[in-house]
Amino acid sequence: MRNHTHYSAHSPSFFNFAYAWREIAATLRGSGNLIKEFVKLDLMAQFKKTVLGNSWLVITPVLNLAIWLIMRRSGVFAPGATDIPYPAYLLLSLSLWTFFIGFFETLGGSITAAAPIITQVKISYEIIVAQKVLVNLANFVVPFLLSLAVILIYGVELHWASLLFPLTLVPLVLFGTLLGMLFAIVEVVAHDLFILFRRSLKLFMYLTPIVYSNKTDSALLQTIMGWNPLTYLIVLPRDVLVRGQFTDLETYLWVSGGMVVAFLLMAQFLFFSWPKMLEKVM
Amino acid sequence: MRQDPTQDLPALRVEGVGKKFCKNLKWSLFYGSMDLLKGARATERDNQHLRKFEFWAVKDLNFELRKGEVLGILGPNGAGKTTLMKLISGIYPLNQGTIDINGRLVQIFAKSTGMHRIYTGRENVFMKGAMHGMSQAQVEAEMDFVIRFSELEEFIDSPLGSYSSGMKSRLGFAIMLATRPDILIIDEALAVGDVAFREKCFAELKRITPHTAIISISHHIDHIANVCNRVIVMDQGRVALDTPDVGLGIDTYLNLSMAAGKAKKKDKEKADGPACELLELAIAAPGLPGAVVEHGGPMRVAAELRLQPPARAAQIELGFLDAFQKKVATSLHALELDGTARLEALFDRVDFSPGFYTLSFQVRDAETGKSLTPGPSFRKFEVTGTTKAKVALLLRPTWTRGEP
Repeated sequence: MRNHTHYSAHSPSFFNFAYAWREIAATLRGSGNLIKEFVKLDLMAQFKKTVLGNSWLVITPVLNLAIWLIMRRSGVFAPGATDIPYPAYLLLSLSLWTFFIGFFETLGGSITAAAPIITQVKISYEIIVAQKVLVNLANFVVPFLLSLAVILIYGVELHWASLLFPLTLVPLVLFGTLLGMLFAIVEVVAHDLFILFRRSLKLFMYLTPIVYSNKTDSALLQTIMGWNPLTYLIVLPRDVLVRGQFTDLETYLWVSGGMVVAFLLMAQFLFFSWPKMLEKVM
Repeated sequence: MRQDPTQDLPALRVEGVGKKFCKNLKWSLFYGSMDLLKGARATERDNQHLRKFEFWAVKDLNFELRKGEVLGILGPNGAGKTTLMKLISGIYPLNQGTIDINGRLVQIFAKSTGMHRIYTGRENVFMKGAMHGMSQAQVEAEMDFVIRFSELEEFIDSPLGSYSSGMKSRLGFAIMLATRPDILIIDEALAVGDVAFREKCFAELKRITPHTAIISISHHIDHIANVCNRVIVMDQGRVALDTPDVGLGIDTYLNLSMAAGKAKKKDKEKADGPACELLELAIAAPGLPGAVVEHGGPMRVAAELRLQPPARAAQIELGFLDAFQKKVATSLHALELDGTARLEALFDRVDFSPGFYTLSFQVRDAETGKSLTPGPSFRKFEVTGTTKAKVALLLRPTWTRGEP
């Protein structure tokens, strides 16, 4: 806890990067215990009222897997050629997609959800962002390990480059967090837009090579995938894990760089606009 | 030996603080969105001037608070007390001025905020401690104090959902104390647990006062009179009075409340025709200074009235309010009023238990029951005595002892 606190009507310029990031770093450094308690509470509370508890972390991807396998076997749906057996490919892809939209799901409504606390006690938004990101990372562990087990059962060989998989996920985490922060603001000031985006999420999944291969024959899908930044942020980590290959590395790096810049700007915008956001939820 | 450079600094400094709100929800959203688009900060002009539908909730506030001071903030509803506390707590952004805080600030109005039903009492101590910036080691070091102070030894490992509201309040208050705050904000009269626990809280507050700056917001004048050594009276978002004379502060607050009531009735008075004006109202007891009376002793209430013609049958209504502003006794007197009159009511024996009370004085038309005065007028008085009681009336009958 800092010994001296100063509040002023004259806030620093939005372009004062050094000030914003010094404050954000100081807040995160001084709030480790609070973030830990918040994460613990979220993990405890999320399945508290269910009989199956944390088993839902396994049940959800398995159910999704079953649906797509049935559709494929019945001939309704042709995913195209995949480098590894389709069930393993699908399970891993769905885990990555669930991981990505998890940021939107947890951060999107986070300002309104935290209103009872943040309107009574001063809590910086970066603490809530850190909490939600960590909860989402923790929730990813179980479905990821399940995917990994299925991949190994199907006899897919991992490579040394597969160890880089967590690192290649960083841009996806930044994009998810950025989207979550953006829609946390939208949810407060333009709730309709938030609902519209939430209902459109499924569409984004179909525009990304999740349930089908990125080697699909459809020219239209190839064009859409080419313009969809998520394609690169999901395909490369997936290929690094199962094939040890850096697919379309150059585009991945450009998209990742863009995500880093966009994330920094978004976090900075939220840092400066947080007091105004607070007024709106009171 | 090196001196702590922060030792001479005030615990809290409020300088030129102003905060405005918008009365209209749609315009409020519009201004909020505009401010966000302007680079997440309002311009100087937006901060200094009121835009359409905006009003100042607090304006031009200046004061300092040092450790050892217990500041009571009084004011009628809408005076800006809660807004000021939220500004000091850093929850609302300022539109004008600066606030400097030296040390850890804890608000007791948020004593149950952040506590969760699914957590045990002990887990909630960790959660609340973390919310107030304590490390895990600090919380562990204070755990025994919290359990002992909240008197929850048997229940500390039970889920909070099984606690009564009193138990939750006790736990919340104990956690607040365990944070060892430098500045403590208490909203409303420590409605914590039962009477015995409240007494314990007051004793603890007195114990920590020398090394803590305390702000108490309350309509409970007994609490303000007993605990505070300084009073700020707020009215319409501004400081109307800042004084170490707590009695004067309470009187000013009561008069402001009275004036607010009068203003509401003003138009009605005009429509109702001639009114009765209270020129003077005083409470006295022989041999005692000011508005102080002794338990069991006499009390005199003097009033001077001027009634606009015509003469009429009237009823004087004296009400007695306890420290919670709850009416505990009344006295009615019928008389004919004509022009100016000086009246005295003599009470041979005051049976109120020692503490602070408020006298309300009102004149009604005996036939219609309508108030002839613009609402009641108030005077605070103190009843002194050695015997403490938890209720307003402390009766002392004559006891005799017969043979069995």
